[in-house]
Amino acid sequence: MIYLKYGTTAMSFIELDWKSKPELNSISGDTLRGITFEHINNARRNYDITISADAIDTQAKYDFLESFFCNGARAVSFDGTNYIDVVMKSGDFPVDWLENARDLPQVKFTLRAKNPGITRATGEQLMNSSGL
Amino acid sequence: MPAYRQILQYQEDGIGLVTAEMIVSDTFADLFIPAGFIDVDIFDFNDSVKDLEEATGVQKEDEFEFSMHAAKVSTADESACFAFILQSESQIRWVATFLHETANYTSADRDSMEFVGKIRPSASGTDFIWHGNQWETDPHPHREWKLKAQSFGAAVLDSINLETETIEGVSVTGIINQIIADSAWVSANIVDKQMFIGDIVGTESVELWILRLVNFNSAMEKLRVLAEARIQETIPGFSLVFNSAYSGFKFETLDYAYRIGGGSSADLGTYYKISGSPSGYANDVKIFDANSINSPFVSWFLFDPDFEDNWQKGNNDAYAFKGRKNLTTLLYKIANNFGFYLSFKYISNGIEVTFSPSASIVSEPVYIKDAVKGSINIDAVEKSVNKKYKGHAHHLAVEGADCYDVKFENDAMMATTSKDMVADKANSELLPLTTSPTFVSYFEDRGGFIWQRDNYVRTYPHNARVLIDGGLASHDSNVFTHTSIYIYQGGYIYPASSVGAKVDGVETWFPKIADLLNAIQVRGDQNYKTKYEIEAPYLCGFSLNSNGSSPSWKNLKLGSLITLDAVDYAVYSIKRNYQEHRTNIKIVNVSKFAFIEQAVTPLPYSIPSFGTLPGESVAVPDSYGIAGEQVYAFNVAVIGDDGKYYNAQDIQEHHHKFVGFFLNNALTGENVNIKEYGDVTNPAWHWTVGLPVWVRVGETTSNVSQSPLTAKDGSHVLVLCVGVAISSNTIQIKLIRDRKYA
Repeated sequence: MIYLKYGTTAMSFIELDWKSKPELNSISGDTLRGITFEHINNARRNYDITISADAIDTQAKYDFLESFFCNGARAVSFDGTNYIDVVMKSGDFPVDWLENARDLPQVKFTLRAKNPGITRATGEQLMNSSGL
Repeated sequence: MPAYRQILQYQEDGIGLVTAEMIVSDTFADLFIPAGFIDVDIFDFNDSVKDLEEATGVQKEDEFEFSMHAAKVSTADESACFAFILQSESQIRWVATFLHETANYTSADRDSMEFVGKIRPSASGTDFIWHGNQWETDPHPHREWKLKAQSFGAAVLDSINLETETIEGVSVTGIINQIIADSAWVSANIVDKQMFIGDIVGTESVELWILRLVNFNSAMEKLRVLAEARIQETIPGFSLVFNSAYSGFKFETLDYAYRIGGGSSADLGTYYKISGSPSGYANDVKIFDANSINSPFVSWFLFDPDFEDNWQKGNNDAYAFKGRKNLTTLLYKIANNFGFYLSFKYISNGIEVTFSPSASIVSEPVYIKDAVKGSINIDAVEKSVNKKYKGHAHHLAVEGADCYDVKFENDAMMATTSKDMVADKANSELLPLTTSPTFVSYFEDRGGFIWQRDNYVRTYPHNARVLIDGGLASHDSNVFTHTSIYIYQGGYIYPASSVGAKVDGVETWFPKIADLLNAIQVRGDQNYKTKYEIEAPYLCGFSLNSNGSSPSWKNLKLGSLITLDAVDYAVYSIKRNYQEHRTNIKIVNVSKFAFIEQAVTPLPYSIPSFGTLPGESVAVPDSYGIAGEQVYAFNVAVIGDDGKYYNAQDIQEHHHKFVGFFLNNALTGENVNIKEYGDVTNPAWHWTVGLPVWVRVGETTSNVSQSPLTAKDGSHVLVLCVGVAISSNTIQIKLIRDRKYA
């Protein structure tokens, strides 16, 4: 179960799949001596989430997902209590229709943690104790 | 009184967590309170720049550049902060940045302060989004603003106006005007100083006083007190400290001051020596020490051009200190005038203004961890013919031992030289103070409003009162501004006549401060021809030790010595980019021959403070240029209006055009080298040692002679004395007299 929220509007979904991986933002290069350097700016967590057509079983849920996509102040929670502020990539609403059937929408998107982590900009502490 | 803070953190390779803090407030003291900030995230930190002027080594204003983007505003506090920053257009917004190199740091720790200053009241913005419908006039743009902050010291002193101005609709009295209005202070500090008393052998008893002088340090102290009080209106408890220092230059005075004319036109080179005067004495000058006996004196008219309703007051304004933009500008000009390096140092709730002899720019060696870019430029070793600096004693006389003529008392008719000085002003920077033992000569009064124009009754220093045989001479009202530095020595006052600096350990005297400063420029050009720019991908990768221990951004300073491939360089520009975590450094080689791998001497910043300059011999020219006619080695050179060089002649057209001595023969259009100061030696000369040398034409092989022109002879009117023979074949270049018969 995942919980999505934009502004103060929230809804839960049974996701088909979600995976998490860190994203590192650094400045690196080679010096004139050929030595590589890397300054780590920050690290954050990305969440790849797929919500299956089974979970989008009402028009209200589909509409929520579209609104979630089109509005700011988004957040995601995996326990319904602790929300993580996230952003999404701009572009088309990430929906596919299974078997090209209009009533079988499957939504697949990546949520990017807005804040780089508890210890800001510290590459060594990418995950919390829950592995998030 | 909000204080907003934004932090930027990253892990620097090899260092660990680095935290940049930027704090903004409308109250200076709040920048340094390590709690209570409102955290925001709307800024991009860009560059923090610290530069020295390449040619002179004078420190420029530090700057910090940053931007803020409306799209980043997501809280009420950030929105308030955004508006708060934009109010810098009309209100003071202080900003400080701190760079912490440890994970556990104290916010707003002064020891980690990289920059502190005031946001400039100007900004540029770029719109990214407009709201609303087409044709609407209120699109409420989302905009990115780019802003700059100027360093604290300059920012504070910039706000001190010297002349009364209307600022934002309010008349703000200039601090110099405040001094002028303080009649008690003026009465106590404007003095007449005795220059000479004694008998002129076989003639008469003469007493000379230089009128309307002020102890320069006393005046600066008064300015300091007034400026401090002004700043305290904005920053309570603020202290402005001027640290005293001895000048990087020394000053010499003339040993003659007075001439009695009479009869036919007299030998203009014969002046009566003042017995016991300190000619040739290397006078130390101390600045910012009001109690020092080494304080220079200057004309009070420089502060108050309208003093005593003097008859030349309309012409005094161009030389008045009030004409400088603000106190910062005035301090920079004075520092330049006395061979100083000016620095502002932040102290607890105040600033220290320090004048240091220029050689002290150089600091300890620093080691760079690594670099991602290095670019070197080596230009041909040439010398600029540009003369950036000029000096005028006042509107009628140039810097140096110039002389101007008057008829009688305060009659305004003068044989002015101002026409010759117009060109000087066009492309040059006029110095506020000079070495100008200016003389004034009075025509003989033949009665009936007729004056004998080629006969002078007396010649004596500008702004002097003359008492002859105990009585007041009639020529006493010729008092107006003068830019000379006056040296108080042994109970008497003397105008400085030349300025000295050590070149390769040898004291070298220049007839004018402008000459010395222009020589610095030329030397600067020599030494800065090899420029090296390095980009280090670190903010903190700088160590004072060759093993790289204890690296810190604090180790890299303007003037730091950096050795690369056994060549010593000095840092003259530092640009730290917080966002990219890199440091761009500009360094200069101190040896013009470094690029051919000759041995070099670690002598950055070739300011001719004592003992710091590379070698100089009489064969080394001080400038070069294009010959406007066929010229001859060891002839005196003048510069024409076309910027080319000509053999000097004793004609009116060459008045105030003296440059130096040619060092080589050249045909029209060819390059010719010129010796402008120091000594020049020609084996073919046979001078009488100790006598002056004059420009003459009609000589068979040379345009120099030890026989001066004693009377107008057709077009031969110029009396130009260019030095003194110090040996049978060597002349010490020194502009002693440059005047013409009327």
